[in-house]
Amino acid sequence: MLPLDKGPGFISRYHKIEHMEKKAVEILLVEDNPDDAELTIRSLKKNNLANNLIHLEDGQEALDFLFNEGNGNPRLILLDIKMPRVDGIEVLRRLKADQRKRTIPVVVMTSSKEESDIIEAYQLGVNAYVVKPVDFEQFAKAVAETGLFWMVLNQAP
Amino acid sequence: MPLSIEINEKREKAANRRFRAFLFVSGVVIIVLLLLLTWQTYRYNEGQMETNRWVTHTHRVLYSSQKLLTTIVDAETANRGFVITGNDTYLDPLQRAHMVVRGELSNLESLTSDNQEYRVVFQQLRSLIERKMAWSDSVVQVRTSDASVARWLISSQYGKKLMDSIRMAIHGIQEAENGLLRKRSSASAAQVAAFSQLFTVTQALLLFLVIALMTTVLITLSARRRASLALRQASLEISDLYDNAPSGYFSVNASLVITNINQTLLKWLGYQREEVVGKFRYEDLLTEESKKTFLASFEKDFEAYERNGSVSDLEFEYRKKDGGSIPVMVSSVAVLDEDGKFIKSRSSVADYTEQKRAIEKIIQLNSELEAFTYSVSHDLRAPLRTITGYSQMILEDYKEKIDAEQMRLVTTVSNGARRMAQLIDDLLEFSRVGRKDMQKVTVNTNDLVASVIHDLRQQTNGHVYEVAVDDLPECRGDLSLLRQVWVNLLSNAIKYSSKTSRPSIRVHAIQETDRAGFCVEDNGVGFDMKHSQKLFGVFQRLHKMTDFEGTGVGLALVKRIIDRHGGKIWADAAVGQGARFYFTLPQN
Repeated sequence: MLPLDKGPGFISRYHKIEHMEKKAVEILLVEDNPDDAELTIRSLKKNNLANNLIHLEDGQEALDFLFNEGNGNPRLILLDIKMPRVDGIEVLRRLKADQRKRTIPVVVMTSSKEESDIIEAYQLGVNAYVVKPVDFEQFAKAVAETGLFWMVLNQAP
Repeated sequence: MPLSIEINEKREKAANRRFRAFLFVSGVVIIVLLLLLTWQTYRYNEGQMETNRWVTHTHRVLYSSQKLLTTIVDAETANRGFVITGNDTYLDPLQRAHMVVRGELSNLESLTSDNQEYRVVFQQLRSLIERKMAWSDSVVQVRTSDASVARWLISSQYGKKLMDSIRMAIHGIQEAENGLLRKRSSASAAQVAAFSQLFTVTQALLLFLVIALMTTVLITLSARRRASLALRQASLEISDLYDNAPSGYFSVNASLVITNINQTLLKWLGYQREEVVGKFRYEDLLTEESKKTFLASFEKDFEAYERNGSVSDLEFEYRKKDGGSIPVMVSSVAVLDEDGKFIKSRSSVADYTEQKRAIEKIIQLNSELEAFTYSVSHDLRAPLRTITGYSQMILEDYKEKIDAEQMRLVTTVSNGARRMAQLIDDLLEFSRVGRKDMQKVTVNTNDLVASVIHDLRQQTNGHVYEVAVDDLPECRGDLSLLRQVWVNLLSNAIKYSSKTSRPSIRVHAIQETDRAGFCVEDNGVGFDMKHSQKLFGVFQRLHKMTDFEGTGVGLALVKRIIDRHGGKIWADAAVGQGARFYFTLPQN
C-alpha cells in the first residue's frame, strides 16, 4: 500500500531507486500526469505486474533511458501521447526506426480518442492503442487486461 | 446557338449564289445582245455599202452613157460644121470627139460587162456608133473633094437615122439603169427600216436589262450595307459584353497561346492586349508556384478536358505585371473539331481573392477548433479520471473507516465526474460529426437497422421490448454517420418506452418524392409538442434527469448528420402517447 501524502513524484523516484540496479526493467511507463501514473501503477500492482516497473515523466526522459545502453530493453512500454518536451508519437517514431528497439511492444495509453492520433500511431507501428476510460473501474480493468496480455499471454521475440 | 449560325450561313451562301448567278446570266445576255447588235450593224453596213456601190455604178453608167451621147452629138455638130463651112478647124474637134467616143464606149462596156442583158444592147450600140463614125468619116472625105455631095449625103437623113437609133439605145440603157436604181433604192430603204427596227428592239432590251441589273445590284448592295451595319452593331455589343463583363475571359489555341483576352482580365493583370495576345502562353499568366502545379499534371488534366469538353473551378494564381498575384477560379469549355481534337478554349476567370481569404479564414478557424478539441479530448478528461480514480481509492482503501453517508458523498463526487466525462465525450462527438469527411456509399438500410438493433439488444440485456421493422428503402450516405443516426434514434425509443408496460418500437418507411423517408415510432412517454423547437438543440432535454438519463446531445447529433446529408428530420408526439421521429435522406 502506498501512502498518498508523500506526493505525486514519489512513485517514480521510488521505482527508479529500488529497481534499476538489481533487475532488468519489465515495464516502462511513460506518463506525465502523476495521478494517472499512480492509478496505472496501482492497477498493475493489484495484478502483481509492477515489480520491475519504471515510471518516466516525459518523452525526453524515455528516450534518454531507452537509448542508454546500460539499461537494456524493457518487456513492455506503456506510452502516453500528450506530454511536455517530447510527445509519445515522437518516442514511438524513434523507437520503431531503431533496429534494436523496434521489437519492444509499445502500447499507447491515452485519454484521446482523436482519430488522427490513432491513425498516426498505427502507421508508426504501435502494438496497441488503448483509450483510458474516465471511469476508474473501467480504467483499472483496461490497465490490468493490457498488462496481463502483454506480460503474460503475449510471446515476445 | 451553333445550329442557328449554321442555318444563317447556309441561307447567306444560297443568297450569294443566287446573286452571282443573276449577275453572270445578265452579263452573258447583255454581251450576247451586244454581239448580236454589232453583227447586225456590220451586216447592215455591208448591205449599205453594197447598195451604195451599185448606186455609184448606176450613176457611172448613166454618166458614161450621157457623156457618150453628148460626145456623139458634139462629133455630129463638128461634122456638120465642117460640111457647111469646109473649115479645117472643125476636123480636129471631130477627131477628138471620136477618140472620146471610143474611150467612153470601152468604159461603158467594162461597166456593164457583168450584165448579160446589156451585152446584146451594147453590141447593137457599138455597131451603131461604129457605123455613125464611119459615116461621119466618109462625109468628111466626100466634103474635102465635093461639098455638094457631102450636103446631099447629110440631107439623105442616113446620119440622122443612125443618130436616132444611137439615142434610143443609150436611152434604153439609161432607162434600165434608172429602173435598177429605183429597185436598189427601195431595197436599201427596206434594209434600213428592218435594221432600225431590230436596233431599237435590241437597244430597248439592253436598256431594260441594264436597268434591271443596276437596280438589283443597288438593292443588294444596300441590303448588304444594312446587314453589315447591323452585324457591326451586334458585334460591338458582343465585344462590349466580352470586354467589360465582371469576369475575365480568354481563349487559347492548341499550342496554349493566348488568342483573345478581355479588358476586365487585362485590367486585373495590368497588361495591354498587345502584350499578351499571340505572345503569352497560358502558363505565362501564372506565378512560379502555380505554374509548377499546372505543368505537373497538365497532360492528364488536358486529356480529361479534351474528353469531357469542359472543366470547371480550377484554382490558379495569376501573376500581375507589377509582380503581384491574384487568386482565380477558371472554368473552360473546349472548342473541338469533328475528330474531337482541341481547337481552342473559351475560358472564364473569376477573381477568387475574397473567397480564398474566406476559405483561409475558415481553414484557420477549423484548425484552431481542431487544436481546441484535441486539447479538450486529452486534457479535460484526465482530471476527471483523477476524481473518479481517487474516489474509488478512498472507497477501496478506507472502506472500514468511513460510514454510509461518507461513502454516498464520495460516490456522488465520482458520479459527477463520470457524467461530466460523458458530456465531454458527447460534445466532442458532436463537434467531430460536423467536421468529419463524409464518404458516401449506397446503404442497405434493412441490414444497417438489423445490425444496430442486434447491438442494442446486447447492451440492453434483460430489458424486454418489441421491435418491428418493415422493409426499408436504400439510401446514400456515410455509413458510420448513418449508423449513429439509427443508434441514437433507436436507443432513444428504447429509453423513453422503458417505463411503459409493454414497450413496443416500430420502424417503417414513409412515402417521399425523390428521397428515402423513414419513421421510428415508440409507445413511450412522448413529449409535449409545444417544446418541440427545443428537441434538436444541443444540451436541450425535455425530461428530468431523474426520470431518464442523458446529456441532450443525441438528437442534436442526429439532426446534424441528417443536415449534412441534405435530409430533413421532424417529430410528432404527445405526452404519454409515444413519439414518432421522421427523417429523409438522399435516395440511391
